[in-house]
Amino acid sequence: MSFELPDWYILKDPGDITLEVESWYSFAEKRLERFLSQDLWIINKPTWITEDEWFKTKVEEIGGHFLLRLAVAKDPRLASWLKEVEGDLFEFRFVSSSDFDEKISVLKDLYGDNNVKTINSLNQDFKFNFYDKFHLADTPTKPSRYERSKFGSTVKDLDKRVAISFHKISPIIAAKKALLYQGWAIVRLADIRLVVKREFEKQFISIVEKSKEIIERSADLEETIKPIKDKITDIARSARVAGDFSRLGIEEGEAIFTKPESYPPCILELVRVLQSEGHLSHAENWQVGTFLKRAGMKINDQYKFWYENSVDNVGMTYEEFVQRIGYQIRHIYGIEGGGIDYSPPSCKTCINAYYCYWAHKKLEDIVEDIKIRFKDKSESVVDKAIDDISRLIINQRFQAACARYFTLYTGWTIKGRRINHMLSYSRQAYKKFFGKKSDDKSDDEALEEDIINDEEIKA
Amino acid sequence: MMKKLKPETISKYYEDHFPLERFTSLIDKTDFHNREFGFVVGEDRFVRNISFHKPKEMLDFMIKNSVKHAYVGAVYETPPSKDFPIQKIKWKYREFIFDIDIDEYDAYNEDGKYVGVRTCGCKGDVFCKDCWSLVQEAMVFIDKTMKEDFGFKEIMWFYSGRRGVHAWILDKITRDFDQPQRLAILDYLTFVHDKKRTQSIEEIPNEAKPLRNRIYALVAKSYLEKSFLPSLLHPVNPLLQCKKCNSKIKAYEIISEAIGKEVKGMSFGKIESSLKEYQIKCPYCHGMDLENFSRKELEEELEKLNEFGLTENKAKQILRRIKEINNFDHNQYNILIPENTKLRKYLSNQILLYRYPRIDRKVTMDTRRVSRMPFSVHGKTGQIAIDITKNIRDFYPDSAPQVQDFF
Repeated sequence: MSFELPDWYILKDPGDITLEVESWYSFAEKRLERFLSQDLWIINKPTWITEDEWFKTKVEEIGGHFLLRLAVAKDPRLASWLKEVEGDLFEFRFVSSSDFDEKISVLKDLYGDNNVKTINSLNQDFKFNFYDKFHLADTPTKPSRYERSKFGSTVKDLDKRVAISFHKISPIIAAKKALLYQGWAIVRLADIRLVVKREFEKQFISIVEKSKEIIERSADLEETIKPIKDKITDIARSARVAGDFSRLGIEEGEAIFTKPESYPPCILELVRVLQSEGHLSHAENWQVGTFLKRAGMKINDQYKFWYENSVDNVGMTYEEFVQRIGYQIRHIYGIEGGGIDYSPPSCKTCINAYYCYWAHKKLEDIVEDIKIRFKDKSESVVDKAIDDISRLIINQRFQAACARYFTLYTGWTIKGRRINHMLSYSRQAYKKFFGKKSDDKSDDEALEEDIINDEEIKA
Repeated sequence: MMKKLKPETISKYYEDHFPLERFTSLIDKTDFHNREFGFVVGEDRFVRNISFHKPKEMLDFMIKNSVKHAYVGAVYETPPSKDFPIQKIKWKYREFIFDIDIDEYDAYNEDGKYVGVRTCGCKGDVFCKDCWSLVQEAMVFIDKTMKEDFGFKEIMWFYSGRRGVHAWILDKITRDFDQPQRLAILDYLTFVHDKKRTQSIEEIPNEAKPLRNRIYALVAKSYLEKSFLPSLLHPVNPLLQCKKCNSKIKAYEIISEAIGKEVKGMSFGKIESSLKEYQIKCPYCHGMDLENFSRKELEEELEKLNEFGLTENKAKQILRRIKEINNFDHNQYNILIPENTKLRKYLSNQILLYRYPRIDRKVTMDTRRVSRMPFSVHGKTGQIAIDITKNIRDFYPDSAPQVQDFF
C-alpha cells in the first residue's frame, strides 16, 4: 500500500521481530500495564526518551500484543476482554493522534484503500457538486462541540471531514448522520470514531483467530504462554469488580473514598464545587464518579453521594433520582450502556479534556489555597513549594506540579516526580496516612517502587 | 371479477411470451445453477428449495407445472434442493430489493379502527388512483434517493401483479450486502416507525441534507397538494361516516346513486341537504345517521393549525400558491410555510406520516427471501409483473397486461 501506517496501529504488519522466550512474560506484562495505566498509551516519541528507548518500546508494544493474542486465543471470554481493552486503546490513540494523514492511513487499512478518500483527493466535479449540494460553505463550524469530549479539545482535526464508502459505516448511515452523496458518506472524524473502533475490534478478533491456529499447532507453545494467560485472567477478573482494590495496591475493606484527605487536588476541588454550586459539567461528573468507584465506593453509596450533593435531585425522591439520574452512575459501573467497567481518566486526559486543578485553576487561587491548607507548616517550606509549583505551572508541567504538591503534603516524593494518575496520588496518600504498618517485606518493596523518602532526596 | 386462470393459459404464456432472456439478464447467469427458486403449483402448493442447471430447465418446469406464482431467491454456494435446503447451505448473495405495497399505508388501533393514512376509504388490497399515488410518489422518492445519495446506477422497477411494486437494485456491490448493511439503508429511509401500530415519527435530520431537502421538495409538495386540508378550497372526494357502524362512504357515489345521476363538485352544505332530502341510508347497516366526515375532519384540522398560528386565510393562500409553483423545492417550502417552530414541527410530522414512502422491510432485509419473478404471472390477478422502470411516475396497475391479453 502506498501509505504509511503508524507504529501504534497494532494491526500493522510488524515485519520481522525476534523475542526471546525468556522475556515473553515481561513483554506481555508491559503490554498489560499499558491498559492499566493510560499514561502508557503514548503514540508519539516523548522528548525525554532516546531513539533506542523509543524503538524498544515499539518492540515491546508489538511483541507484547502478539503474546497477549496468543494467550487469549483459545479462551473466547478472555479474547473478548482483550478486544474491549484493545479497542479502548485503539480509540484513544486514533483520536489522540495529531497527524491527520496517519488517521487516513488507518482508515484505509481498516476499510480498504478504495473506500476512503480525503476531501482534497475527491474528483473536482464531484467536490463542486457536493459542496453545492450541502452548502458546506454556509455550514457554521461548531468549535465547542468536542470541547468536553473524552479525548480533549486539543485534537484539532476531529472536525475534519473524510469520505468513506457508505456501506463501510452502516451504523452512521442508519442514524442518518452522514452527508451522503453518490455513495460516499462525508463524515467528521469525531462522528465515526466509535464505528472505526468497532471495525478495529472486528478485525482484531479475526487476527486472534489466526493466533488460535498457531497455538493449536503446538502444545509446547500453549504451555509456555500459560503464565501470561493466568496473569490476564487475574486482571480481567479484577477489572470486573467495582472498586478494584488490587489495582489500587490496598487491601479490600480499606476504602480510599472514606478518607477525603487522600483525594487528589482535582477531585477535592470538584467535590468542593459540587457541594457549593450543586452541579458539575458532564465530563467532571464522569471524572468524580469514576474516581469514587475506583476508590472503593459501592454503587448505592454513590447514588447517595450524588443525591445529597447535586441539584439534579430537586423535586425528586431518592427512588426517582436513582431511576432517572442514576443511569449515569450505573453507566460508570458498567451496569448500563456498553457494560464497560470504566476507570477514571489519566492526568494527561484530564489536562486536555476533564479537570486538572493545576491546569485549569488560576495560579493566584492555587497559591492562596496552598497557603491556607498548609498554614501550620513551616513558612519557608511552604514558600519554597509555592515557588516550585508556580514555576512548574508556568512551564505547563502540571503533573510535575501535582507531584511537588504531593511531596509538600506527605513528605514523600513520587518516583519520576510526576503524577500520572489521580488514583496513584490517592493510593500513596492513603498509604502514607492510613496504611497499615506491615512487616511483610514484599509490601515494603512494592512501596519503594513508587516512593522515594524525602529524606533520601535531601541526602 | 377475474375469471379463474386456466393452467393451460399460464403454460402458454410461459411457452410463447415469457421473456427469458430479459429475466436472465437481471441475474448473474454464471451462478444460475446455485440459485433458489420457489413456485406455487397445483392447488396453491408452495414449493421452495428448487434449483435448475439452466434457465431453459426453469422455464420448462414453469410450463409443465403451469406455475401460478414464481419466485426467485438468493444464490448459495451449492444448489438448493430438497436434500440440501437453504438453511443447510452457505448463502452467497442476493439482489437488493425494495417492496412497496399499498397496504403498508394501513394501520389499525387496538379497537380495530382504521387509523391508516389512506383518506379515500380504500383498505387492504383495494386501491384507487387517489391512494395509488402514494406508491407512485414512493417510487420516485426511492429511485432518486438510491441514485443521488447512494450512487446506484441500475435500478429496475417491476409491478408485483397485485397491490405493489418492487425495485431491483442491480449494481453488483449491493448483492453482497449482509443484513446490517441492508438494514442501514432501510433505516436511512425510515421515518415512520412501527407503522402498523403506533406510527411514531422520527424527526427530519439536519445532517442528512439531501434526504431532508428531497422530503421537502417531493413529499411535502404532495402532502400540501393532496393531504393538507384537502377540502378547504372545495370538497375533494368527500367522505361520509355512519355513526352506527363507523363505515366510511364516498359521498358523491352514494348521492349519485340516490338521485339517479352523477354528481360532482357539491359543496358540504349541498351534500348535507341532499342526505336529508333523499333520506340516504348507510349501505352497510342501513342506519340513517350519516355524518359529513370530511367537513368534521377539516374543521378539526383548522382548529389545530389555528393553535400554531396558521389562520384559515393563510392556509388557503398556501393551497393556492402550491398549485402555481412548477419546480417546487425545499427553498420554496421554507418560503411558503410560516416561520413557526411548532407549526413546522407539526407539519413535518404530518408530511412524513401521510405521504412518506413505506417499505416492506422484511423483503429488503431478509437475505434468504424469495421475491416475485419479474415478468411472471400473478396467480390471483392474472396480471404480469411487468417492467415499469420508465413509467414510475404514472404507472397505474390497470395498465398492466392480463395473461389472457396475450391470446
